Amino acid sequence: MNKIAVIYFPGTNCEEETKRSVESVGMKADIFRWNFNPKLLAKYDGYILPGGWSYEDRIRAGVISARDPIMEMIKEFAKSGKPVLGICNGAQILVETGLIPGLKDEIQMALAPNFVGFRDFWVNLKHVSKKKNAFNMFYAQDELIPMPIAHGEGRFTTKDKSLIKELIENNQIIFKYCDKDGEVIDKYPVNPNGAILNIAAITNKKGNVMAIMPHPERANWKKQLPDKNLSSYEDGESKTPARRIFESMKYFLENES
Amino acid sequence: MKVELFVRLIIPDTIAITALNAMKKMGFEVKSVVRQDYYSFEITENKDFEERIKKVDVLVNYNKHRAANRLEKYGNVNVLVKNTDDQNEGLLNVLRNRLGFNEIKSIVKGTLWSLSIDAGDPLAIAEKITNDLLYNKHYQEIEVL
Repeated sequence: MNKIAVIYFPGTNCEEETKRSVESVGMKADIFRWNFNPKLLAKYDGYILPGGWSYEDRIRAGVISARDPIMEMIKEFAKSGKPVLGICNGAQILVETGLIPGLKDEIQMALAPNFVGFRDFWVNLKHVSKKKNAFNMFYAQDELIPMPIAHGEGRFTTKDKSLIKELIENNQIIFKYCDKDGEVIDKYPVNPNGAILNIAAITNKKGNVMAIMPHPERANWKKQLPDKNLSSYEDGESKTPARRIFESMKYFLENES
Repeated sequence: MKVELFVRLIIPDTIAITALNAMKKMGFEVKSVVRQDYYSFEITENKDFEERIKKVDVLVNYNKHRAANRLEKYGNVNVLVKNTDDQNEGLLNVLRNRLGFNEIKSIVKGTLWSLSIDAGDPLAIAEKITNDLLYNKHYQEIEVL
């Protein structure tokens, strides 16, 4: 059975539900503290940086964790092709290490403060990538996925205008914020934070590392969704579109890596 | 007309402490770090603005802050990190529409990092620290004061 390390920094707070989501698709998950022996990470098949407020977002969100020695090991595993998923604060850490977008050995983007401040509500994501990767194997083109956000620094931005063109050409933009009809409108609240091109998730070029700002682990079971009409307890335990991110990781590990 | 406000903590600054710890773990020889919140107000007229803005408890809580309108240097290299693309509409709205500061046209917010560096070339070391830790050029800019 594939084993995923859910990395825990001081201030991380989504590790338990992330672990449960990984286990719901038939993988094993361990919560791996930042101060464990980093060499033990080698025995894991994939890594997730979950959501929260690691180091209280001191200086700026994700930067202290990004400089933690454990991230040097995660970078090596990412380069070797193992899947690395960063959710919310995890996404901020990946951007501050340069693993996302990962086209040069430097920090190429920022997850800057939202234009309207901290926001905590459900959004719709549209799957826009034309290329399959470790996280989107089971999404159809233009499929809509409901997921919640809860962040104050989630605005993908960059000073490098040529980068955006590269991200589009490489199919590295995976999910965009849209309205309930799938229209990608660059206006609040459809775009909840002002991200360029309504970007909600980006992968690296190889497709084994993804930074996603919304929380798939908070939309993994039907009982978590806001517009549910549950017919039974079992109905509440049933799958959702968001779960396919974790299912995709499992498929990737079993078939592609 | 521009008026500046520097707000520093008089209780232990956990952000500065964490920053110093991170710098040391990254191999930088820094003796101390002092952090101040920085505000720059573009105003239309100055009717005791400097004194009035220091009394706004949204910006300064005298139980834990001290405020000054002039730069007070606490280290030998002082780096101001400003957010470039934030209009600070929320703060502008509060100051103008709820607290009556109608003379404010715009606000720039930032963080002033005062680094005490003894060894080597302090400016070069501070530049490396700033690039590697204190700012992200994709939404911030820096100024050495």
